[in-house]
Amino acid sequence: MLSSRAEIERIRNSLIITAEALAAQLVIDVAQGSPIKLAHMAIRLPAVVTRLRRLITACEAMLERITATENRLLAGMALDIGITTGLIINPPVRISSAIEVGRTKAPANLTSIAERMKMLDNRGSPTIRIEKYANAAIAFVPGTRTGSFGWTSNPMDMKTNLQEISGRISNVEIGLEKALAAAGVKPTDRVMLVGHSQGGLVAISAAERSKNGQFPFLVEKVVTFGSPVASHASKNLPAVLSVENSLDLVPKLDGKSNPKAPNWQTYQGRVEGDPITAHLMESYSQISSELDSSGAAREFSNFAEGDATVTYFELSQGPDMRG
Amino acid sequence: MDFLEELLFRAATHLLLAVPNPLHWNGPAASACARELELLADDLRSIIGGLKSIVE
Repeated sequence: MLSSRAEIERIRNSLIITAEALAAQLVIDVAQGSPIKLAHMAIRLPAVVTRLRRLITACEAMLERITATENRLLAGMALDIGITTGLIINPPVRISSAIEVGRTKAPANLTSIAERMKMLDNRGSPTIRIEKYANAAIAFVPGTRTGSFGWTSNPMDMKTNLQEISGRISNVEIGLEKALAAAGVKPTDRVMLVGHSQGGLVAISAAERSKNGQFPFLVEKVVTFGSPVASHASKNLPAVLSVENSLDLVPKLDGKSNPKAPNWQTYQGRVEGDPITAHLMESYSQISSELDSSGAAREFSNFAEGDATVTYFELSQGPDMRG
Repeated sequence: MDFLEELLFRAATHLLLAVPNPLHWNGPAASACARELELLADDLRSIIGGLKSIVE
């Protein structure tokens, strides 16, 4: 089976030109002179134009799928070339410190989930926050912390982005598993994963593996803020809420929209700002409060009840190659 | 052939020219696309036939 982007683009463009030529109004204008011809066209043509538009939409969906596959393959190739040439280093990951910071109440709404994510993001260090409730847990995974490719002890790096985009397991995902275990989360406890940017990629991949029985925790819900997660199939996932800022370029990096499925809700808000600020959790906190007003995120904000123990797990990988 | 018939005829030709080239795109999606394009071109030709039969 072969799918050439250029060929599908050619067909799509040709169909757009034809649909424009057939645009009902134009043809009806031409037929104005003859009432019988006008009636004939008005009965038969709209159905043809509708089918043509459906075909254009199908071509566009094909092109989106090709883009997503290309992105995955390219990320995988970059990773393989980088590792082979030594430009990318894949050292083992560990928890370098675990700090129990006290107790907290279950988040009352999505805004408080976003605020906790923002607080963690602002720490700047490669830290995962785990809230352990009676029979549940919420894990928060922040975004990319460094632009390195495995040369430093910080695993929340570009290597993790390449691994997650190409469908592989990153050090952050392994670190998340270790942090959940260290926080005393049991395999039967319900887990909600919350991630910003890279953290969302890690969260959705862990959730997919949980459903396939490859991640040893029961992930029931995932919340992503500004993450390019569209290449994941909804049938392999639990309930997902993806929050996106329309001015943020990062969720668009996978070149397609998130799948529309009953278990996957994508909410796109708009907070003004440049592409950098549009990606920050400050913007996503504002969008979350809009979502709270609509009540659309209740399923996620009501995930846990009661009090939790909060622990911060700092991750590190291998020796720091740059000293 | 009046202007209207010519417009529809050109559209039908465009659709047939858009049929996927199997050297560049093949498989079930490409076949479904080709079939739908041929059906659409047939429908346009049938509309032209209908217009021709209208005597005013």
